[in-house]
Amino acid sequence: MMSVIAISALIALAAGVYVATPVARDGARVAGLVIAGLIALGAFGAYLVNGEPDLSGQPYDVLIERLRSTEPTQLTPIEQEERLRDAIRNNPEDIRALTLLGRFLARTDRELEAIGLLQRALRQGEDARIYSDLGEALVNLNEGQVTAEARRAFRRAYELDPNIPEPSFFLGSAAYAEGDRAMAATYWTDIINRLPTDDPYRAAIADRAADLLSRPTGGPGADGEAPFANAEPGDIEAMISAMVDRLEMRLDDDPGDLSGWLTLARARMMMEKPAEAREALETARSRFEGQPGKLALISALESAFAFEETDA
Amino acid sequence: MIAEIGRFLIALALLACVAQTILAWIGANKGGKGGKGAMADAGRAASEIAVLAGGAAMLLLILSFVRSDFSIAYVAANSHVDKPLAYKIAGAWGGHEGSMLLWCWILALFGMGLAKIGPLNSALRSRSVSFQGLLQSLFFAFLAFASNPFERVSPAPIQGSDLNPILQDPALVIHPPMLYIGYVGLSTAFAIAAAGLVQKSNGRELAGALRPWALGAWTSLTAGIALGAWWAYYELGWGGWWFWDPVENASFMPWLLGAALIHSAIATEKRGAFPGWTVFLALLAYILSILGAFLVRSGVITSVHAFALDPERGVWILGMLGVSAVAGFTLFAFRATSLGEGDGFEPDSREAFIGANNLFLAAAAGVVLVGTLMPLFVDALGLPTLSVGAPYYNMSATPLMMAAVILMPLAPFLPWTNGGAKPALKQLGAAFILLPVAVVTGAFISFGAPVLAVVGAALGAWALAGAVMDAVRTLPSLAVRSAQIAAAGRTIAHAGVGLIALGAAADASRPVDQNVALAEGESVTVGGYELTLEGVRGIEGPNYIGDRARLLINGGEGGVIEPERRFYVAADQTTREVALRAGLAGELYVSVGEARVRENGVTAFEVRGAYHPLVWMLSLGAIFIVLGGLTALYARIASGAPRREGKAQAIAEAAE
Repeated sequence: MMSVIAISALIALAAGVYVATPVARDGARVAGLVIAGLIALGAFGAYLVNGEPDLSGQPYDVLIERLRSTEPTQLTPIEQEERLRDAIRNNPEDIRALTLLGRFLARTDRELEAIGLLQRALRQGEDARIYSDLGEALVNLNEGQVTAEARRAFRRAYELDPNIPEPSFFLGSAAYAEGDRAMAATYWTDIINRLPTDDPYRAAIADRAADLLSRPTGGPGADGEAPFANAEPGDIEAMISAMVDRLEMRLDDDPGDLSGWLTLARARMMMEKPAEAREALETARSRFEGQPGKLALISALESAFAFEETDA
Repeated sequence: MIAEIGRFLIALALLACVAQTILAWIGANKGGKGGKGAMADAGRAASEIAVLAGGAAMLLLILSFVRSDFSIAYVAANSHVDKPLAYKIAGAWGGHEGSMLLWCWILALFGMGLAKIGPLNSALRSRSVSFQGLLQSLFFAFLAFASNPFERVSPAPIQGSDLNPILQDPALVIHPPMLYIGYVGLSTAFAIAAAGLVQKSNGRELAGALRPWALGAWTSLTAGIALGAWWAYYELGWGGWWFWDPVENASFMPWLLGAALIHSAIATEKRGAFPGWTVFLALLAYILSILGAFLVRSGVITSVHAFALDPERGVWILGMLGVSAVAGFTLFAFRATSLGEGDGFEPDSREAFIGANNLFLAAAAGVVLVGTLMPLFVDALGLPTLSVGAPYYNMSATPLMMAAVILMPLAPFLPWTNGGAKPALKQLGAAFILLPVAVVTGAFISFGAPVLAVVGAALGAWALAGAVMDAVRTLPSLAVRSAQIAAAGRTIAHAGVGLIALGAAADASRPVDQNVALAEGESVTVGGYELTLEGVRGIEGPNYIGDRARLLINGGEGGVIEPERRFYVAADQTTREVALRAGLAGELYVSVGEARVRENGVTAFEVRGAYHPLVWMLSLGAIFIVLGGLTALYARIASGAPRREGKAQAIAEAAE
């Protein structure tokens, strides 16, 4: 603070004297003194109206030095982000910094930049986790749509490490969106098989997969809208009944269709026939014995029904 | 500390401007020895302190940008540590507060310039310095108390928000300084005119004193406007170079009046004609410059240029506009008669043509003013929203400017005072230059150009051929070198006007722009060129990421053209970087936009292609006008006219 005031005072005085010198030289010393004083004091007064002499500056060099010397855990998220950016500036090929920053940005809705960073990291060396993060960022950027680019990233991640849950989940989602339920079920049950039973991802994937695979195909509600949303109330029962009949016939021909069994159980629940729904699930359970992934999906749907019954 | 020293320096500059105003005024009075005494010297010293303090503050602001000191709110709002150094520096005048500091500093520079090489009449000079000091004080007060670029923010943000990406461009680095030299330079003409009115100076003396300042300012304003138009052409991504945008109009109005002023001042200085009009123009041109500042910075208009939307600041600028206008026009109302009336002239004399030209230019400025302000008045009255666009200006301002262009080549051949249109037309070789006019007109008609473009092209050819004839016939006939240089400046500038008219007419006749979605391997034809999208790849810049499209011209035989689409991360904005392929006949203009996934899963990119025939004439025309202005300015210096006037003045003062 003192230095600002001292320097300002010196400059003000010098300026005042410089302006007043011609007047003082002309013999009007008092007038010169008044002019110098008014300029110096006036400038100082005008400065102090809004001046903050005690507020120090924060050049970036000083800031980043402080961030570098602080434990990362002590830093705020924004400071951590800046430290990662600093690391990348110093070493543009720093895979760890590129990946961490990419993930951070992807989680804070800055997918475009995140994608660029993750791609840069991948140019330094392939890594299943980074491919998976890249795929997720691409999905988020495209509002949930698994684009061809995202699919390529997930596929490569899956090839490098099939034990990571996200690539399998999203590849299954992509297959499901294209109407390939069998492929979707394969991806999902495969990853459920691989994950430990206490992994929270396992239950989450099973719940989601069971919900999707049990939805009626081709008819109302197939594209994510509520089943039979546009149907007249009187028609719903007849439509469900017809659909159930078709499903039963199809399962007679192809009893290995997991999605079919799940859909049948769901349809029977909609027809308020819980015992028959349970029967369908039990049949499926016995059909897929020894296949823990598929059994997990059956259990997940059963749990959902139990919840609905309690709820009702 | 740097920020606070900078803030103090602005306060010091303000006080120095106040001292300059008071001391120079006292010095201009008889008691102050009519501008030759110690008080006038002190006023000059104060103007130097204002320049030093303002310049040092500007340097400190630039330093703060280079150091990325985000404890300064203005730096935090307009910079980012990853921004390239050139744009960090340019960021110092890329936003409102910094550009206002630059404005103030240039204003102070002109004040110091007036004090050192201003009017040779000492009293007039000292009073001009005082008036200039008053204008400086108003703006420095605005800077210190309402737009301080060193305003602090605490706690300081970790990162800045970056400069608006469309401003991160080489043309935009120098566009604002050139524009401000133009705007602010007109303040000297205002100050000299106001000082002259106070002193009851003779109109001829005033015109001679203010002409070089007005000429320099107008030349710089031309360069600034041309750079802005060039930037808009290639940066905004759709190929327009003039939008009749309110902010563009705000620079165009003082330009039109400045053009009128530098011609009117010639007639006044040489023959004593239109002294009142010349002084009135000098006052009005600067008032319109401040109006421009008000439009850009007040938030009353929506524009790509409006970078400070702050009504409170608008009130400040409106206040400055009011003070300047009331002071200037009140003085004019009471003292205009002292300027003299001139000696009279024939209707076919050079004065008459310059006068008519002045009327056309001023009327054009008037209709542009009406078109610019009308939506504001309509909005203020609560009437339905009114949008004034190109059709209005093409119907009103363009014909007036065309009329001015018709007269332009004739005036240099007309004699002063007594007139003589017939010999002038003969000397101009009017019949001879009608040939290129006919050829150009025929060519435009054959290409199916719109009527306005055909007329514009004919006038462009008329002006260009007239300038050539002027150079051929007039230059050799002049005995004095400085007169030759001055005439050369005139012919170059007039040729520039012709080139711009031709370029604008050609551009208005261009084929329809193409805006299509292209997938890899697909093509579009633009202006006779077949463009095929070969591919799009990701790119990374210092502070942006993006896509670069590669398009083959005529299957690769014509080379490739690579437009970019950039996403500026910190600013969270996307820009199009246009790719250009210039040729003598015209310019191929290609930009790339967003990617879209088609139903079949194929990704297609929006590609905008245009062909701008003879667009280079616009740039060349602007360069010619600037060169013409500089040449005329040099001729003024080389002629030693001010020195001769000075000697005469000194003798006259000694005789008193």
